[in-house]
Amino acid sequence: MSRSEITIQDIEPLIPFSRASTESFLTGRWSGRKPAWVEKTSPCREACPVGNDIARAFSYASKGLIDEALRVYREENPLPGVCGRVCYHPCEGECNRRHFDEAINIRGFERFLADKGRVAVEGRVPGGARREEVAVIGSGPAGLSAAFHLARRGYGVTIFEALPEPGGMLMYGIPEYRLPKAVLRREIGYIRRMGVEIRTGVRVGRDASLADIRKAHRAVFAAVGAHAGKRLALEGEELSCVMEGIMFLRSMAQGERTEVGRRVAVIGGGNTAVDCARTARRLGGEEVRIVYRRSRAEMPALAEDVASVEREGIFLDLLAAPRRVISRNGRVSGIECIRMELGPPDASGRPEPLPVRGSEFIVPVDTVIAAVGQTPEADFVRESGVRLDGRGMIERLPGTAATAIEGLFAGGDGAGARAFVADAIASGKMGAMAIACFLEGKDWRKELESHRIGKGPSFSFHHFMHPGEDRVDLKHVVPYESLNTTCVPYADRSDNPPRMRPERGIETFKEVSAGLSPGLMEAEISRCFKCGTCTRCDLCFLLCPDISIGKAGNRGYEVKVDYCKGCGMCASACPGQVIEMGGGR
Amino acid sequence: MRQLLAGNYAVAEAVRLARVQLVAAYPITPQTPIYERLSDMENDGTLGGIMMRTESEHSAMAACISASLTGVRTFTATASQGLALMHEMLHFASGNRVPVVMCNVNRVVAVPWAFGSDQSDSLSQRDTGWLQFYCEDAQEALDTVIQAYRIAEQALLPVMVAIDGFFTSHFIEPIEIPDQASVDAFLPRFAIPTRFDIEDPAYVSNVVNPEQYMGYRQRSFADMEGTRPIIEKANEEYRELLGRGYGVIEAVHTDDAEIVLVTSGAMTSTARVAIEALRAGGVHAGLLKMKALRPFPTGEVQEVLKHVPRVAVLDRNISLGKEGIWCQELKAALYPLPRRPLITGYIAGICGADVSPDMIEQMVMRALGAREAEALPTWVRRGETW
Amino acid sequence: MVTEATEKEYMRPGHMACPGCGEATVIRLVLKVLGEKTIVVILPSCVGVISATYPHSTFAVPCFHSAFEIAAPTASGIANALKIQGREDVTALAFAGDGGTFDIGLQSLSGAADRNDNFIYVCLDNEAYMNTGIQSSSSTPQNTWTMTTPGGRRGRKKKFMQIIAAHRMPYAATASIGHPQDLMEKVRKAKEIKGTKFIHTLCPCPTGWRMPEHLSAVSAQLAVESRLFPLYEIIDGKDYRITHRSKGLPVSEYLKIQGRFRHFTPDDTALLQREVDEDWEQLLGMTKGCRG
Repeated sequence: MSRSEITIQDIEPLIPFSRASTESFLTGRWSGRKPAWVEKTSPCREACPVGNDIARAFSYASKGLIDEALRVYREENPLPGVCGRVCYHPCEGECNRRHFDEAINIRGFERFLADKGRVAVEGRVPGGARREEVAVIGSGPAGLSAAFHLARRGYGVTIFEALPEPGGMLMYGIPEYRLPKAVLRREIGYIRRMGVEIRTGVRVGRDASLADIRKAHRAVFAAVGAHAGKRLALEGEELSCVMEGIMFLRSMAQGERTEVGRRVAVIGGGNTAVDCARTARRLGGEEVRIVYRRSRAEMPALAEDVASVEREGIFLDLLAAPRRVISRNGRVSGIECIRMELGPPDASGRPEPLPVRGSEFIVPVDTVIAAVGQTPEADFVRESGVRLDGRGMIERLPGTAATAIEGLFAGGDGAGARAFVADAIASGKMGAMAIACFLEGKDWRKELESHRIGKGPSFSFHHFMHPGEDRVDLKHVVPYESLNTTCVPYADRSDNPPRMRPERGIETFKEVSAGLSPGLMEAEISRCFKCGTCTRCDLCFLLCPDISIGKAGNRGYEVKVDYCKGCGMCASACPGQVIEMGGGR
Repeated sequence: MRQLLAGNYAVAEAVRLARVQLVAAYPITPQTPIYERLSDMENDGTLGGIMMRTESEHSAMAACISASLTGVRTFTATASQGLALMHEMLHFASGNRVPVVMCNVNRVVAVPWAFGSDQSDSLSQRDTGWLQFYCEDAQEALDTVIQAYRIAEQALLPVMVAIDGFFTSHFIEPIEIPDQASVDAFLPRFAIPTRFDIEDPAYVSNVVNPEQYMGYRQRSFADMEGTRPIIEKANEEYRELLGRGYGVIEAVHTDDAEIVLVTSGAMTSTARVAIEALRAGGVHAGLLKMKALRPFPTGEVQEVLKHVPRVAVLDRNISLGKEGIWCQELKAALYPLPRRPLITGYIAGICGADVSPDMIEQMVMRALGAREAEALPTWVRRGETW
Repeated sequence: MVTEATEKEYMRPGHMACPGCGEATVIRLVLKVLGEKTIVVILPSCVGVISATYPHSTFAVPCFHSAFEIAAPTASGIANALKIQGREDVTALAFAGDGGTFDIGLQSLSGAADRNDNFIYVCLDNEAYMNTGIQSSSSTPQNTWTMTTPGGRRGRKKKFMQIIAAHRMPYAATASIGHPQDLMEKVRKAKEIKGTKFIHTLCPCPTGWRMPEHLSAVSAQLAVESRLFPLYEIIDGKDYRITHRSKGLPVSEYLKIQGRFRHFTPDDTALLQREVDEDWEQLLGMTKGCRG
């Protein structure tokens, strides 16, 4: 009895059996359009004076790679723990998310990275290390930043710091409750571990001469800051209990507790004034007021710090200017002020405050603190031929960190940079690049242009260090309209909460603001669009109906030109606007 | 083992003995006892396979086809409207070259609505590419279903086994039920390779171009022709192993016949009686029972009828605009003969209307006396002259 | 829960889909999850063309081109045969369009679900008979232009998932190409369950929706986020779980990018918005008292 002897070979000719792959049809020829993955720049990065690659850091953080995210920040900024607490966050002002619901708490994120991430300190480049030595005068944010970037580039750097500890205004001008010194010391410590030498207690012009320093170093970067407080120029100013704000804060930073009375008036509207007021409050001042000649909108201090002022029970006496200090028995008993009104803009571009005739009034106070502006102590540069301008700032050649004297560079508050920490750090970075170009025979203009971020003025030092990498189009900033936000859920922004109630806060110098909890931070990280950065979300890879996108390891994704029909679905769906469709029809 | 069984139950026994693995069906009178008996067998484990209770006959055939492609032995049964509903799937089964076996319990097709035996349902599907066998009684039904699997699985073409509604399906006869071992010896287990092979995946039955389509049809045509020796061999072996064989036709008293009556299905039993009576009365009448419709047994029919002067064809069906279908088929088969019999067509028993032996005798006598061929068939009714 | 996106593919490029075809994406992702032990049933439909003619195949797994109205019983037959053969590690999978599911295939799908045969049925819904040239089906939304409803379709889109729920399938879900991880997760879940599983996918069709090709995925996202096509699961016909919280974009955002809605009056849009809002509320109501 024969069994069924039919095999598949018998069956195949009977009905259509198709095994040939459709891969023989090169459907890529249907269209010349093909996608390219081109990472771009986020508007936050463009706005950041330091040029932090914020979107990329968020991208790493969204995958739990906190250390990597921190490393991305430290490609541009050596002081994320500082900036994450005190920066005026222009990034948030340009954040694309603000058009969707609310801007991301980018500053809180930077702080989170600095507090939670681990730093692998990049040392000097071994072997091919450059032999040149560079001197930096001043260890404030500009000086530290310059030293950091120069050390990364392989230079030997020595910082000369006049005060007992490094940090400049960060150490001596920002109180503990806003920037804990442990955080600052830790970040300065990382810079030291890179091989940067910091010599404290050396005031150039007194303990060391600029000429000697210039002899011993191939280039010098002067970042002396602006630590000399302007005088009030008022009658009665010479009395005790009339203090200069910078000195007041410096004493506090050095652990010397200064006595203040019960009623304190702080003259000025910038962060120094605000910090003096908040410090006075903590030292026992019961009636503390800030007297400022313009209105709230013109106060240079950060809005959130001004809000803290009110929360801590400090009175804002706006549109008021002091006329004279009143004394009794050789002690301050009050100040006479006059009401101001805002006139047309003055030289600074802000409305000029004009006194209102006949509106004088007297405020009883026992302590007056003046915080009406700072100038640099930079006389020592004159011996080298560098000039100081009308405001006492070190004069530089336009658009650069170089002075008129070859080999001598300047930056930070002392050279007239914008008086914010981030801008000082940016200035130091600019100085480092200028010096590197000077020593390496490069055209600094070309370099600046090449590494400029968006419209500028910030630039990427990382890009300067690794120009061949070409991984991001620094000039192309991603506008909100080009993002695909269809699937993004609305979510509230998480702000850093206060650590304690204001009534408790003023009893101590402990840090007022707390970091974001892991849960809230995670939520905030997921809110970030990561504009222009490929987060390897796989959406394009999964969406492609023609199986024409492949994974390319570190390079992300690549297109299979033989099969891609150029539909552009991937480009339109990409949440970060990374994909560009190119080629003809 | 001998048992008194109705035709439907005989078919169910055949399905069990053939070790069918999957049955997909939908109830319709007069098929339902097959469906119900198989359900009982599934329930008590004697079937050994899976029953799919589909929501229509069209889906039943669809499931049989895909299950067969996957690699199991399948069965379905239907009638009348159900078969008509399955029409698309009949083409589908044949085109896919699957060895599905189906029992069609012949019943008239609506409209008008009625439920009697009539071969219009299966005959009108003769062009769908199935082999078709018509059974005279319950025993033949059982034997033919078993043989059908052997034939189908060698030919890779589907096979329809037709039995008369009520006359065969519901009438009880003494049936010889073969033992499993004998059937196993005749019919091996299903061993056709799956067409869905994970290791060597293929896309089965995708679209072809006109030239390719024609090629596949021609191949099927050739393979349908190739079933003739397969059918013959199956019939011989079945006869050897189980003692019964039916051939593709059966010729009775045809050697000296002046007239041969051609019938199929249950009516053949009545015709046998009529022919004996006629012969006893001196008429040289013979009988040709048609078992196979597809492939049409042209050679066998020509051989039997080539010297017969007259033929009467009894059709329990009608194709409007022409004549009875068996008559059409027969005329086409006899056309090449140098001398063709004079053929008279009769339409009788539509919807199971009664056809008695004397009516058949009358038909034969009238055909014997016919002087010329008639353009149209004659409709035969009890109590009427025609 | 995110299903790992492996790089192994079971659909090959070079197939004949229009650029931007949503169906092709669904097929690819479904096969990606199910893997090589899959037998695919497809029908005369866009997929029948996409998959290529003899002797080519876009599938790297066994496939069968069945007839228009019988995706479900074809898969049933395969599933039962596999059971008999002891090959239940192989998945029987059927792809059918909206025509082959909502219309001509509804009866046979219902029968298969009644039997709870073990296969996955994926409806590729592009809201009309697109392969034959854009004719309306009972899945075409009200007032939509098609070649056979040039003045806008009078009928309303069938609420198919309610029909599915009524069949008490062990698992049913909606999915969209704009949310591929969600889709893949649902396929993964379906694979683990025995019985008849149904996944209703919205497949944008640039050709038939009169839409630029590149907006295909975005339109699917808009359909979901406007709550027109919410993403949810129904377990055992009674347990409703929303798998993505649609944020409620106005339906006009979805309509305005498609030429097939170009003639919509403000009243038409308002009507649709009302319907979408009501259906969403009803869906939320169904999820109350359900776990997850």
